[in-house]
Amino acid sequence: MALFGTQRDVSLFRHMSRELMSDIITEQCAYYKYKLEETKINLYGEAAGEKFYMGPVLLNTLVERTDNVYPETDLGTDYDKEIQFSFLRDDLLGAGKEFNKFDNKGNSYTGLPGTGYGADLVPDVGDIIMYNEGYYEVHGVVANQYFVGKNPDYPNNVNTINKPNGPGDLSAYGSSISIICKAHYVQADKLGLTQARYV
Amino acid sequence: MADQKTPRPKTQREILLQTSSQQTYIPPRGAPGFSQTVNPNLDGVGPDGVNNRGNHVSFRDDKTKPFALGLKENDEAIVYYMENVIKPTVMQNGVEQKVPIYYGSPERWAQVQKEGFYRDLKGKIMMPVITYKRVSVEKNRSIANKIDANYPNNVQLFQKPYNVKNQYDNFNILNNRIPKKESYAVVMPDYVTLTYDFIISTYYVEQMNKIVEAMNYASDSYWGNKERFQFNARIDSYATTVELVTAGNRLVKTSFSLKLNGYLIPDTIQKELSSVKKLSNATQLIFNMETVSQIPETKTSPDPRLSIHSNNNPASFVDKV
Repeated sequence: MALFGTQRDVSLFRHMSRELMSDIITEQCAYYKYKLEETKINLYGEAAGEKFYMGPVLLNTLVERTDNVYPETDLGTDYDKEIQFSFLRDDLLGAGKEFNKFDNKGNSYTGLPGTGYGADLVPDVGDIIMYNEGYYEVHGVVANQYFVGKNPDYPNNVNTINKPNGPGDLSAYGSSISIICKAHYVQADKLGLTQARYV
Repeated sequence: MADQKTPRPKTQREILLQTSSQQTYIPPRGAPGFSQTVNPNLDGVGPDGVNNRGNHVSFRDDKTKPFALGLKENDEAIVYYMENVIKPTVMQNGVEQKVPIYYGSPERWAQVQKEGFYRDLKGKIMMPVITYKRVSVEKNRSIANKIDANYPNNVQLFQKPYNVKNQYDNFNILNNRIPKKESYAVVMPDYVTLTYDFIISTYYVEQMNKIVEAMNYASDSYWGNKERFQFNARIDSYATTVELVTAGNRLVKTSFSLKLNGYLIPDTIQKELSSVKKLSNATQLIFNMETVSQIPETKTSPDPRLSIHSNNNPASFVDKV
């Protein structure tokens, strides 16, 4: 039976993280996901015609920027940049769950009744993130920061002590804290989100 | 101080005479059209060493300049044909997009700041683009060749149909004037095979297909500006790859080599000194008015001429006493 990392502890960390990210650091990005049904692909697996997106969803994030690089390629001096966006997992998932509902006590962006955290957004490879007028394509998603080393989604209750809904239910301990998206710069005109060419 | 002389730049003739490797152009006797032709760079001095002012020709105020054709003209022919004839386009985000072409590896400031129209806000190159580079110049001796670079006697004459002295006007015909014809002698070019490496980069294979189809259709034809130069261009094969790196963008690339049958006429001092550039045919003789004291001349005078007038004004005549 686990002794530490109860949901009360997790809630403390969640509130502190949200306060830190939304009120103190306040770095934001816009998250685009493809509309898979509407975006058609051709024989080569590419959407050469049109692309359709959901969003954008404005999210609080911690941004870890790398230096701009200007590699010399066959085409000339190019530009590239890699960025790591870290999200609080509860900001993205768990829409409608109790811990994501606003309490109308100022712990929200708007404080409107019926609203809450949880963008209902599952980050995946290929998604687009807009940050500082630049678009970045996600090429890696990492979600392996577990509070007290436990992921409540996988309780693995096998013995009677830890049986579900009991005092030792492992699904009530620990938390998956973050989702980290590793992304690289992508040309705006490829995405067709904004006009990038004028000639 | 008295012996000090101010340096004086040497004339072209002086430079020529002190350069032993440069021989004056002496046309073979009896050669058609060249029997009395001399090098205009020699200030009208003929093969016999006699100064003939009739051979003084100049390119001053002449719209036809001494002919030269370099590698740049060959390179420009490709860009002209791509931009004005092939005009490759792709469909991008529902809009027909012109594909820019540029010579590979320009200066950094030029490509980032001056030619930044194919870059986005952050400076990343936007596809599709076509880049090309000249990678080799190979001499083609199967067509023709000069005998010796120091004696480029192998020339071709191009006659200018009309000039200042021979205008397109019926007045000359009515007055039975023989038109003055000007000809330009152009040395035999060096025929070369130029090889260019092309890289076409696009976002999508579908876009690439369209460009390759257009390039393939234009292969084996004469590329260049019709008003200037055209060269036969051939493309044999295309290699297409799709690059997908871990932390990078997907890029479709096609590379191919283009062989251009070009030619070169360099603008060198060697050619300038040893080749004929311009010549005219003899068409008219102009005599100024001369007067004598009596006709027929009965008096034996050592100088029967009174004076020579050039302004043709009889009032200005002065009889010699």
